[in-house]
Amino acid sequence: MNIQHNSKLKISLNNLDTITQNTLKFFFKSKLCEKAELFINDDNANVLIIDLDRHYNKEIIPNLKKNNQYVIFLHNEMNTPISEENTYNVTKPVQVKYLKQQISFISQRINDTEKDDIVSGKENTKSITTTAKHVHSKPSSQPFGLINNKSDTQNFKNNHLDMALKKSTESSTLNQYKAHKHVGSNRDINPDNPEELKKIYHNPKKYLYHHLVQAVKLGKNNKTDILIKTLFGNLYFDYNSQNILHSFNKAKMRYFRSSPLFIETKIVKNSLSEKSKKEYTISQNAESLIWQSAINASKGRVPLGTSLTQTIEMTSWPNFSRLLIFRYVIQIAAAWSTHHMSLLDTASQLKIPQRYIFTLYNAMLAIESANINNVINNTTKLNSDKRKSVFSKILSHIFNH
Amino acid sequence: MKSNHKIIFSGPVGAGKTTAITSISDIPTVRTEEAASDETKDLKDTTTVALDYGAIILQDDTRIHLYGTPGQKRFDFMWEILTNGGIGLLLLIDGSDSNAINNLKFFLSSFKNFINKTSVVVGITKQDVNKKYNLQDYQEVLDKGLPVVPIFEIDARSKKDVSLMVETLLYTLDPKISI
Ligand SMILES: Nc1nc2c(ncn2[C@@H]2O[C@H](COP(=O)(O)OP(=O)(O)O)[C@@H](O)[C@H]2O)c(=O)[nH]1
Ligand SMILES: [Mg+2]
Repeated sequence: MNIQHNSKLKISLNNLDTITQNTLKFFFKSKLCEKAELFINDDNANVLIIDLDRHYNKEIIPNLKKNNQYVIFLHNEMNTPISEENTYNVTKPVQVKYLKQQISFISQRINDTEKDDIVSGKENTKSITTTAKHVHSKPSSQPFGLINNKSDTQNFKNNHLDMALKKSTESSTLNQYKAHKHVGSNRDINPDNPEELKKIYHNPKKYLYHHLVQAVKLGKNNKTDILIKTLFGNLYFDYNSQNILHSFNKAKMRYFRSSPLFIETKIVKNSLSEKSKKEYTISQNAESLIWQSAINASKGRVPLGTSLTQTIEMTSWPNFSRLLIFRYVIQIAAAWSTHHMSLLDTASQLKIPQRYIFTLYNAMLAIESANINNVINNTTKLNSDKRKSVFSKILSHIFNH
Repeated sequence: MKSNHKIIFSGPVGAGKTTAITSISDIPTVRTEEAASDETKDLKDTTTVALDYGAIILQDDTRIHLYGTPGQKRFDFMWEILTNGGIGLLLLIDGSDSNAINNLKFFLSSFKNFINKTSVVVGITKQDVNKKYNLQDYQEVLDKGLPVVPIFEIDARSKKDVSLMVETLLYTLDPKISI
């Protein structure tokens, strides 16, 4: 391997799925084009990015050190990372921050090696010993060039790429999956740890969605309109149109949906003339507003007292084609629609972070399409269909096109 | 690459079957007379009724056949032949038809055996034209308990909506599919 000083790092994406590949291409093009040159399936590159969970050329590994080459493995949390010399690991969902960090490490290694070679007048005979580093390790020193400054790294935080590099595929074309925004950032909790347990509960009464739910229930039961009085102004449930009327602009509404400011809310039966209703400037479908508000309030949490171990009863499918949805929503709902499973069990059987499951449950509970009222408790184990790999290809296909 | 994977689209005339297949097909939708697949050849011998045919073509060239059944109920003898070996059923119901609820009942019971063996996703179309019923009205027709049949309001002209139905169909068959 001949690396010229100051030349671009050659990075190859080896046998990644199309979406990850395209996303990384975009990432390199927009962020690293001056530092790195990108190749596809080139075993001779300086750095190979390989999906550990997919088929790859295992013969490369023993020769890495000899060739002064490096591998970054993208791997599933469940999969044990490879700890060979010159290998690095990044867990999926891939966070760009970490990927960048690993590339920085490597370029520094390569740079150091070159300097050593130049000093000692050798040609690539010396390689440095590196032990596999896991993504959560901190860089020991600021590596050259790649991370220009702190804010550059931070810019990635809310970037769609953070999201787009999920698990192995995430399509930016499948715009309805704007998951990162919707499920918060809670890590999976250990239910036996009371401190951790606290983090996944919220008090619905503090949030707007709870009062909207109550208003709609009262309105439907009595076939009347309902006035919803909050400290910040009124909202109105119009029974006939099944719409919520209000005059909050978008930014305010976004803030209200997710803020615990509504404990002082009152709901009362009401009937305004059509003319007075017009004074409200905005009218939104009640169900979709409740749905979205319940997601925004949840951020990976469920109502206080929700059992994590009793089975969920799903009573109907939400109208997902017309509601805000995020990653894994269909998969989780499909599991609940065919099997009795608890919240924790869903997360572990599907290998999906708990916050996705909790957020979806909170929203489905709010629109009354799921609950944990009846103790069924005969949890069923999910089996795999023998056509799983074809199904997986069909899904990739429809997300890609 | 040859494959026998197929997804069946059914529902009454005008519900949007041909349109839905066209929305997600990678080839122009054709009538069976032009379709080059074994089982449709057999069908041609037994009937002159045209089926809609489209296909999803995967990266490795595997074809997922998309078949639209003839909508007229008098052709329901064909449904059994057609569904044999299919992945599952996407059932489209024209929501602007005042008979929509009965149509849903009729098609669910006609395909009962196939649905029990596989899975079904219902799409209520033309809700933008004239919404005769709410989703709850359709949901009431369904059996209580598991499996809960997915029913979505969709527009057959929308690739996103039809793709959602396919995605849902596959995940109900195997919630553990990873991509
Ligand atoms: N406005 C509207 N038109 C639709 C919708 N779904 C289908 N159509 C239209 O309905 C007509 C009949 O659809 P078609 O696919 O021929 O129905 P088929 O008889 O089931 O094959 C076509 O003109 C479609 O464009 C929908 O959701 N909204
Ligand atoms: Mg047709």
